[in-house]
Amino acid sequence: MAPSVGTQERSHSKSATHSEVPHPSISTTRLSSPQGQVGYRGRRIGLLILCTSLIFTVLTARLVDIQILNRNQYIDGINGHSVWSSISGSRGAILDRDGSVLAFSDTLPTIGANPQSVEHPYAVASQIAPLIGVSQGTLIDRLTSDKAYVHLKRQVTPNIADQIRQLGLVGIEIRDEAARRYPNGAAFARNVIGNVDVDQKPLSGLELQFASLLSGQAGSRTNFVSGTGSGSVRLPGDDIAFEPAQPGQSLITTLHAPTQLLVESVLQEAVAISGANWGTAIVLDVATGEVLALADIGSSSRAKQARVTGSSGAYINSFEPGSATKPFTIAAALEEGRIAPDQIIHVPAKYKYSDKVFEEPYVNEDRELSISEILAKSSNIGTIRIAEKLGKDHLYSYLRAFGFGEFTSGQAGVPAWPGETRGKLHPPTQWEGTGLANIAFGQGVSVTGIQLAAAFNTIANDGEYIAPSLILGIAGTDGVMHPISSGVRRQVVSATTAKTMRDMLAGVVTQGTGTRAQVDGYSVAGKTGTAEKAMKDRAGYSDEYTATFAGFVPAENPRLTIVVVLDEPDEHLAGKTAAPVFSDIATGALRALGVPQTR
Amino acid sequence: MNLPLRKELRSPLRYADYSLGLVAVVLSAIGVALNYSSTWRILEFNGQDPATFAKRQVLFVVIGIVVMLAAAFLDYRLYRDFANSAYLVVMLALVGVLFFGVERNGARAWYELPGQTFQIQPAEFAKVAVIVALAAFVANQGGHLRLVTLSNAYLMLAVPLGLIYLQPDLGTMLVFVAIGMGVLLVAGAQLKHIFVTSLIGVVVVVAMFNSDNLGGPALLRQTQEQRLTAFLDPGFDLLGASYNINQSQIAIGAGGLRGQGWLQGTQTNLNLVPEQETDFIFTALGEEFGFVGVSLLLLLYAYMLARIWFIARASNDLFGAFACVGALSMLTFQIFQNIGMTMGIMPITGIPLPFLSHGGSSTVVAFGLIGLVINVSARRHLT
Repeated sequence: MAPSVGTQERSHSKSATHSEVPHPSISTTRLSSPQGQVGYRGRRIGLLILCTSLIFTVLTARLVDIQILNRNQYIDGINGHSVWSSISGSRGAILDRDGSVLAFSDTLPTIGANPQSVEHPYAVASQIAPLIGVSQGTLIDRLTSDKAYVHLKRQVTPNIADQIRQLGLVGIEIRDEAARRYPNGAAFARNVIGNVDVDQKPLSGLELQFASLLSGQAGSRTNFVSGTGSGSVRLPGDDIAFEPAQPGQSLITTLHAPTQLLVESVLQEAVAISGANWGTAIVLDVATGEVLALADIGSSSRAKQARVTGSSGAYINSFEPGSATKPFTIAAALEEGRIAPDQIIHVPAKYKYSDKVFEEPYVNEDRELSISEILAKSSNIGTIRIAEKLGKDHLYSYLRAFGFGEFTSGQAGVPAWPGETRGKLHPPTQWEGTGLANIAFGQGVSVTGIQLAAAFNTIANDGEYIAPSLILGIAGTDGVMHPISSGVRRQVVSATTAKTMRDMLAGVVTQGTGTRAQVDGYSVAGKTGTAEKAMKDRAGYSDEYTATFAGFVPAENPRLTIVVVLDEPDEHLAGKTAAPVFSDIATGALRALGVPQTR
Repeated sequence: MNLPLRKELRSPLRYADYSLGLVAVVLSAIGVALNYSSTWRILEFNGQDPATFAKRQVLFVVIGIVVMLAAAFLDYRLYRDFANSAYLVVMLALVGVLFFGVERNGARAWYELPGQTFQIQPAEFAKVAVIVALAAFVANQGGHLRLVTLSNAYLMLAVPLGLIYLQPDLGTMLVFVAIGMGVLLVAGAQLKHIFVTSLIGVVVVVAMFNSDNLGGPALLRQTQEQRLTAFLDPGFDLLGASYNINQSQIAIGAGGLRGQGWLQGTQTNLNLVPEQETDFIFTALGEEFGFVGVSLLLLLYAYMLARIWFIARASNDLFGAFACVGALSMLTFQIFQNIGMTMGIMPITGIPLPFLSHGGSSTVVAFGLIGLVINVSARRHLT
């Protein structure tokens, strides 16, 4: 150890005095020596140690402040840097009635990059651009950004990811990411199933309607992060808190995938060929009201192509049903006993009701027509005369009972589909002079495709209305299906009346306006509807039409109710446009569902 | 008492201040422990050996001890003859690093050795070279610094300052200013000269800050300016420039009186303090060993500085005294600047905490300086 300061100084000063042979190049003057300016330098070096002491005092004071006096203020900062994040459970699948998968969740590779480690952004962009179908310019912008991660293309096929991986590019990152997949193609039944965005956020259809059921219970985790805001990074280490996510349940729909495929392709062709704006086709299982197929095709005049629409027009687009309403007017009159099935009615060529003279289209002579003939020849004046016998209140209440002007859930005020349209059926107190006459043959009312299908299904199902359903059941992670109770049922007309109506509607197809709806090997019952479209901007009707064919097969013992609607086809007569589509759909669907031939 | 006889008979080894070397070794052992605690978690997380940084630091300390012994062994008066050559060599190295050095954190201050595992920071070695050369120069003036001599001394400082400004490394520049002030003050510069030149220095610094506002080019890198702004206003840019200050104060505050224990610090384990194994190593000590541990560190430093001060006073010649004063100034400033920065009372600049911060150049240089001071202490009785 060094000697104490005092002795050191003393001995040094003495030793200096005694140095006899100084080093030639080294001054013997020492800081503490009495020689030279000892006081002068001594004060200076004292100043130095004073500074040092001061500095240590300041440091210690600050330490006491931070670590002891105001410690809590600083500790609070620690917990400020944790972040809570939600973990979504794996999304449930959507299945058809036989369990074939319509939508499921999987992982897909996502191509990203850390621009900081990409050395040659131009070379990388030119190699990747053709593979992922993103322009080189866009890629270069992203690869030269100052972020730590950028997406280049999300959710590509594994094949593309492999090709990129083989390029061995520095800075390119391929991560697996949860993705929604539609095995039959994104368009298949898109109007019903709906879709999700790239982050699996539901956007439309069943995906949206049953979002919470499909997505399950979200879990959560809390982690420490560096800093706050968008720049924060999750830090290594265990979770502070972790709540596992519950996987979503699967939805079993009533759709029959082969029938859906058939209906979509037939309708797509029909819309394209007929020049319609849009078309809807619905196939219901008669006994249960389950929707076996529901196609919505829209045509884009600019692209000159017809495609499956993103939303369900069958629930959303309303139109005037026209003559397709007549069976319900007649059924009501039969049920109320105002007419007899074999009654003959005088049908003049011109008929004045209220203040308006109605004319039978294409007919110049007075006729004596049976009820069947009124239906088969789609006589407006015949139907008006029947409606007169029925009266406003009965017509209204029967149409209501058949589902006109009501949501197809069968419950007042509860839409069966997000954004479902109720259609238009005013109460009789609001009917104007010719109201009864117009409504009797389907003017001044409007319906959706699904409403019309449910109404015809009532006749097919022995007079019992069944709310159409899209969901068969829900399956949890155990895979066991829990059925959802089928829709509301109500008896609208008697089985006898329904049977009479089926016979009459069969006549429409065998000898009336609907002959083109015939199906080889099966009897068909149905009704055409060729309705002038009301003008959008003013009162009255335009020269555009909605062509409808609604019916069921086989006519005697119906298994399927089918509705086809074409909006503004070039050839407006429903018997020429919608009826053949009905025939094609019925032919395919009966075969796909294995319904035995009746003839 | 026959003092001359006793003095001549005694070997310098007898007078050497071994306690200084011991304190240096103890400090560097604390440094290794903190190097480990501030890096093991992230290394383990990345699948690397958790002791990677600690092992490297051990290697640096071993090299440092060898250098310290070597520096203490040869008579320091020989260094005086080589002072100017050493100064020249290091200045050349500072020029070279601007062209051949690697850039890190925006400063071109390192030579990279083959294998890319180790870097050498010539500015650290320039500190020793400048201390020795400056001490030799002013010692030759015999304790009187006329204005011309003082100007020459300033020139000796200006060259490394300019070269380091080009890297740029503001913190290291300040260390050179501290060395110059300390040595020149004790060497006998007139106070009015020091006062006037300090005033000029302040004007130059302020002008540099505002050069872009005054119509000239921006002379300070934006990050440096932001860091200094953040020092003056800690609420400024909480995620960027102020982030370091806040995180490091949280860590120190979290330590409290006794600390959270070695390897137990929350901020330290979570890697919340940036650059913790280098510039912010003090926060690891503060969090894990608390006020008690930090006080112990400050006592060790205080002892070291006090010993250097005594040795400077007791030196056999002016060269040894001034060299000790240079070492004292350098260590004092670095300790104050580094610890002060972690507690928010000094601006953030990249200055290592002597013996503790991870880094080869700074550790070896610190040991070398202590070796030099021991050398002076050992030969205080020789003529």
